[in-house]
Amino acid sequence: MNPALQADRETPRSATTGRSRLRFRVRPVAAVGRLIGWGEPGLALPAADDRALDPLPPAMLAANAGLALLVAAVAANGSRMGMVWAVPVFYGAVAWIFLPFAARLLHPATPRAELVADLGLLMAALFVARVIREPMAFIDHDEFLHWSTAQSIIETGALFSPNPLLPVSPLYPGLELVTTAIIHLSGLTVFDASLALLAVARITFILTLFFTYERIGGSARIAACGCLVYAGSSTFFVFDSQFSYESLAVTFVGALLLAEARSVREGRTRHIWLIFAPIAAALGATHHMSAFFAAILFTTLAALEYLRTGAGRARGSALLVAALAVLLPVVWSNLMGNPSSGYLGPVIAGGLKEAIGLFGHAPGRKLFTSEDGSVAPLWERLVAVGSVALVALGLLTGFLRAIARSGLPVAWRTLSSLRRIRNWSNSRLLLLTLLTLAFPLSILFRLTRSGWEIGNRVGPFSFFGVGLVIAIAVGAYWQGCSRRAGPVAAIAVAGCVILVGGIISAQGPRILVPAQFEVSADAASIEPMSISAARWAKAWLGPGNLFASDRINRLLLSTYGRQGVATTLQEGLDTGEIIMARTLGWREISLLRETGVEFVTVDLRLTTALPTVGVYFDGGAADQGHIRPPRAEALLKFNLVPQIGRIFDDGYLVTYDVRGLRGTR
Amino acid sequence: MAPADTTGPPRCGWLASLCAVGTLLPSPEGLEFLRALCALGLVLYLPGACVLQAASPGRPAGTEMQVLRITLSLALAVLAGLCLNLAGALTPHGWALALWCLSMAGSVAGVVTRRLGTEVGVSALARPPGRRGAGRTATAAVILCGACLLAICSLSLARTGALAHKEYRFTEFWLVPEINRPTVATLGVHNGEQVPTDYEVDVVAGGDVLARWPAITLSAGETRTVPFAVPASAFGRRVEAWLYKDGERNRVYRKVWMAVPGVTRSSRFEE
Repeated sequence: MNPALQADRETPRSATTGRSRLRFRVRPVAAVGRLIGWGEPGLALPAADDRALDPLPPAMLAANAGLALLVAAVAANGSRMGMVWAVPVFYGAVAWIFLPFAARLLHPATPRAELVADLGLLMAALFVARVIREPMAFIDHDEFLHWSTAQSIIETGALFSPNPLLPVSPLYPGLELVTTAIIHLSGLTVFDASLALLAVARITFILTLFFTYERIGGSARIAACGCLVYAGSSTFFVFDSQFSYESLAVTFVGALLLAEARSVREGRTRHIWLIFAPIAAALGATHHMSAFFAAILFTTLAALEYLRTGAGRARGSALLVAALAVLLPVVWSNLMGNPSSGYLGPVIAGGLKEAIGLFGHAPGRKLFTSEDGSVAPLWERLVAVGSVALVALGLLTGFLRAIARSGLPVAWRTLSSLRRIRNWSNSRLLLLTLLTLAFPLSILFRLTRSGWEIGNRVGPFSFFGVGLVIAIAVGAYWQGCSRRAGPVAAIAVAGCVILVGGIISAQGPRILVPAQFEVSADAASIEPMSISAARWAKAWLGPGNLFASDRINRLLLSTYGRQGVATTLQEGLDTGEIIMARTLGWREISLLRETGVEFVTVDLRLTTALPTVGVYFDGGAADQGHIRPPRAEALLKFNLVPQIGRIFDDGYLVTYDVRGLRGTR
Repeated sequence: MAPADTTGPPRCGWLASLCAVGTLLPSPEGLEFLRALCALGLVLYLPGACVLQAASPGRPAGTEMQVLRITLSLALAVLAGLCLNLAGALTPHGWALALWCLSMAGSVAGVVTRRLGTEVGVSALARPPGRRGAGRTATAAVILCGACLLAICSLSLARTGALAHKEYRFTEFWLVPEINRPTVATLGVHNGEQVPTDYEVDVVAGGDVLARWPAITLSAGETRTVPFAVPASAFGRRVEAWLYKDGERNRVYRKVWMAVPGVTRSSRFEE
């Protein structure tokens, strides 16, 4: 929008008639002030239409989504056949699903009941699109970690069995508990049970978010728009809908926000003890980071309620809620021996160090470039950058408006207005608005190598605020009450760019399984031959042997093969050094003996390319900054040792029996 | 007028009981999906529904309350699982009993609460349903069924593509010694070449051919194993198995071996 133009959308007359009135003034400062909402009073939007649900429009939108899903499936299959059009067509199918729903959700005339129905159907369709990329079995890296934990629970009938792939996972068994409950009672496989659970969790989560935004924002329209924006979080499409503990934890966080928001009007005690407390306790046992986030969130809310003039009894309730949100996860963490500090601490420290280094002009991560050097196509880069730019624009135009809507004065021209600073009326809205300040931090972390993971994880939490603030910007500035097709379509397209850009920033061109195997590329490295080799190990060696192998094959050996795997996280020793070393000297043999490794599986395909994710194994000192792939002679050095048996060979994967080095069989 | 809550406390308890029984009894063939439905209901909905119904008996349950019921059920399942672990009862019966007990506790509390007459006021945000044209509903239902069918077809199409995607044609070959008898091993071949393939195997030690199996044909996906006892002459040496494919005797297709321990009185085995 041209800053020289002022669009007066906020006068009572335009709010009633829905028409905008343009005045042409060349006043840059005033224009900027108008853009960001400086001095605007909190706008009251008209309530959403309360008519009963007309089922026809949602049904037609669902049918349209069904057609788009067919196209998505064709694209997924095309990717497996090496078609270059597959990825763009898949993203196009996602946009095809999203756009009609978005246009309907953004239209002011859509009844509230239909907003709920449309959101549920949209989320169901997006979930099916996600399943289309992995319709048979798990393919994403983190899914294997939790699958291993779930299998241990089923096999042993007990919790807390060690998981060398992710030692902290068994200590936060919430997701695996619910999944194994479904498995035990239904007879479904882990994969099918997880799909059922995640589908329900996804739809439930977006609806809890809708109702939370509605209660906090005061408008069903804002709530629906906020949910659309939330879908643009980089973790929304894949990471938070995969079989990983954060997927369930995010659902719990949404429910906590809703339960707390409901308690304002519905009866505090009942909501706090009957709903909030059990969910907070379950969250504490499900995911460390989400529980810490909830603790910080509700503690800040309590602080805001304490500061707010006229809060009265709300302070006590807020304090109680904060106490529950803090104590329950802390108790669980202490019971488990504070495992997350050893797991999260180094990642956070490394990310912070690199992020600070950026200000000193230290080189960060190369954007849109994988560790193997491949670059994302231009259109993906443009969409991803456009997505961030749109979010930033939405925050710019929504931040102060949201603050004003919460009752906090934003134009502090006089001392008297400063005295009223504690007179805000809506602490929850104020809290979520302040939460958006985490968004630029998450972007900063994503510019670094070691902090990328933190930035990616902060995303879904910061987007709790981003969704609502941008929705307020849309409702109060960009669209207002306009029912014209132009503004509705433009904002729907912007939402679509945010959604697709969010997916691209997390997945990029690797959203689909490619035709050809890629080295150390997580989902692009999972294929039937490797799975067969892992199953062979279980069938012919029995479960529970200790293997050393690369990043991908250890996932498969642990899950399909039910073998133990030596990892740096668990053993504290890097068995990747043994495999990569040029010769099997005393150092390597000592390492084998010290770790107790019984079998070594080498994947000769590692010699064909650099690792896509940057590491072949654990990312130890010897597994960083590869400039060339390892030589085959290095991987096959075990052939030269008489005590070592070569017990399995499929032409690509070779398994060696190294028990002879220990002198015992 | 808000809709009557169809899962009032007694109904909630009955449903939970039905689901619990349904998960434990063997399902008739072709009706396994019923057991899955019972399981999903018992884990994902009923405990939370019964407990919240106890808090607000007779109160209409809008969509907002329904999603809270689901989330509360998930949370209660987590907490129940932690308790079951303490009791060493993470089994199907343990789960069914725990979730049934939670549901029944909520159901009974709901009945008591209702009899005591502690009703709660309607939420300010509760929304009344309205009447809708039967014709439009029927049309919408048909269209929705069509949408579901399209979604199922798309998943089916994706599964077919995933199953058909086999980048590698390979043959697995192994020689695995038995755990307590290191001079007896199993020789195995698995045909992953996706076409019928001929194989021949030689077992050699130090250049001496210990055994030779005639050509066998394995169909795609077939596996053949044969036990092999190492002759005494090969004790203390490396015993190798060489696999040839499609009659190409000039090229060893796969090679595996085992290190046989030296002979001792106690390690003599029958052949």
